[in-house]
Amino acid sequence: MEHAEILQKVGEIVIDFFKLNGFVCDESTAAADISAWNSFSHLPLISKIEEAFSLRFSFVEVTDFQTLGDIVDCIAQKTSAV
Amino acid sequence: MLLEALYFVFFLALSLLFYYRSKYPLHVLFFASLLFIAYLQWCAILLLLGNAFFAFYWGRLISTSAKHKQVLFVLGLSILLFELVIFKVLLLEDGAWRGSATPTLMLTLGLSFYALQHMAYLFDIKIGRIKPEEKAGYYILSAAYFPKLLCGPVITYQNAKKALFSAPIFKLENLVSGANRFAFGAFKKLVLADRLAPMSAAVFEGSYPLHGFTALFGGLLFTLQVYFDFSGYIDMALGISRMFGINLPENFALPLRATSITHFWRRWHITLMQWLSAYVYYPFSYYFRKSALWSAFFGIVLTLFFSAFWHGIGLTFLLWGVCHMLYLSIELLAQHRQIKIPKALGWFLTLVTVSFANVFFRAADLQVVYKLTTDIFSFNTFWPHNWLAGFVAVIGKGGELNDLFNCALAALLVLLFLLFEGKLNAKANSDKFSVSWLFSFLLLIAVLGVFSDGEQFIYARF
Repeated sequence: MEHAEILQKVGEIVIDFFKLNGFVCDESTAAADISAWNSFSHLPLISKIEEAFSLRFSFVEVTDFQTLGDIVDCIAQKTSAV
Repeated sequence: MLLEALYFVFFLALSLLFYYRSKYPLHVLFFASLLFIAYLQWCAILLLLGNAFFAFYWGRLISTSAKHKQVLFVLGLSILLFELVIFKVLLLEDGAWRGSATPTLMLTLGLSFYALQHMAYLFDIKIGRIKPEEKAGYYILSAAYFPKLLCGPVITYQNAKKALFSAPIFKLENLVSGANRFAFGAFKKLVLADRLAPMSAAVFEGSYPLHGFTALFGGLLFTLQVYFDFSGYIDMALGISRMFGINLPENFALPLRATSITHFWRRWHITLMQWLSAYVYYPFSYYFRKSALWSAFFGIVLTLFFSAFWHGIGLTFLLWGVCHMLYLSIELLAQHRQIKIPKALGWFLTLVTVSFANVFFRAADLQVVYKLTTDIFSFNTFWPHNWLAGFVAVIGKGGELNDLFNCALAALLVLLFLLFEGKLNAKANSDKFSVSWLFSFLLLIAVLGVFSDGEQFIYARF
């Protein structure tokens, strides 16, 4: 899967999860950019992404994600390794 | 008090001199930290060193073990937690929370804070986030570093390493801006918090029954007192660190302006909440992440239960934690159903609910809790009929002239401070050289400060 393709899919999940009509996600998008993205919503969001890509993030990965770019890089790494 | 302050200034000046002049600045910090603890209570050094050595070697043990990482981690964590429980029980028996310093209290100087660092260290090694430190001295210094020892901020070992172990570069602006921040913190503690202290004590330790409004106002007074006391300490700790060229993390971000409980916890005791989030909330919620509501709900319950335990063993702290669990759960549900309220109402409700929860936090025992909550929920007598006798005289400890003067002065100073707090904080954090700022605050402390013996920082009791 291409990097840009992953970013687009992750972006769509984020927009759908937080119901952000018209919001544009890029690699630098972080929790600070979306007010509803907090400790309570972080893990369920990650769970949606895991379901969409049929993979599993480790605890360290989940807690180290700072931006969408980090999530995309991690997915790219996992999917290319398969 | 004054003599102790002079000793401290002399100690700080000598430490700074040796730190910047020495070829071994970390050794200077190490010995200055041990000297600081020894001055307060020499046997507290043994507890601190014992804990630090234990975490240091246990971390290595976890790291080198191929098969028993989990078992060793659980064992190490249990030992640290058990020790914390033992000392919290001893503190409870000493009644240290209300009274003055006792031998047990002094012995446990900073224990609650460095115990969190050790637990996080073992956890991070277990999950492979960090490698164990190779030099015991570095690890001990990160736990013993004196500005943060008594009341934090809470930091993890990797953050302490980044902050502490770079080569010191002397900059005059660090010295001056650090002194500015220190004076700002001392003003909060000696002028604001210590002037509010007798007022909140009058409600929590005075005669009952009270009007509901007066009892609830006591909760607000204590909220303000603990805020100025704790954030004042943090300002001083960060100011001293800045003088050494060391940047510690911020612990408060205008929490009294929060418009919801969620916002409040993002702005109040930030480093503890970050710790709880990273080492209690996330590890637990990670396994329940498929259910958004349940993972958050159970995460909140566990996190606030641990937070209540960390503050002290006892039903009053547990009830304080339960209050915040309920508040956060209600907010979570409201957020889930996309219910929104105006910001001004949110601010008002946050202040009232936090103050109400603090009635449990401050109350000496369940009897006081029962009396005050009965007063608060006695709706017929909630508002005082005679405001002078039922409100002003109570918080003015019976209405003596000097007590009423203290009330009026404290009210004026607190209101003015809160009104301009944002600007004052920005100025206190500024790197710009400002002699006028420093001398203004020193003058305000000299004129308006409360210099009583035995006054301590509230959070040093945890």
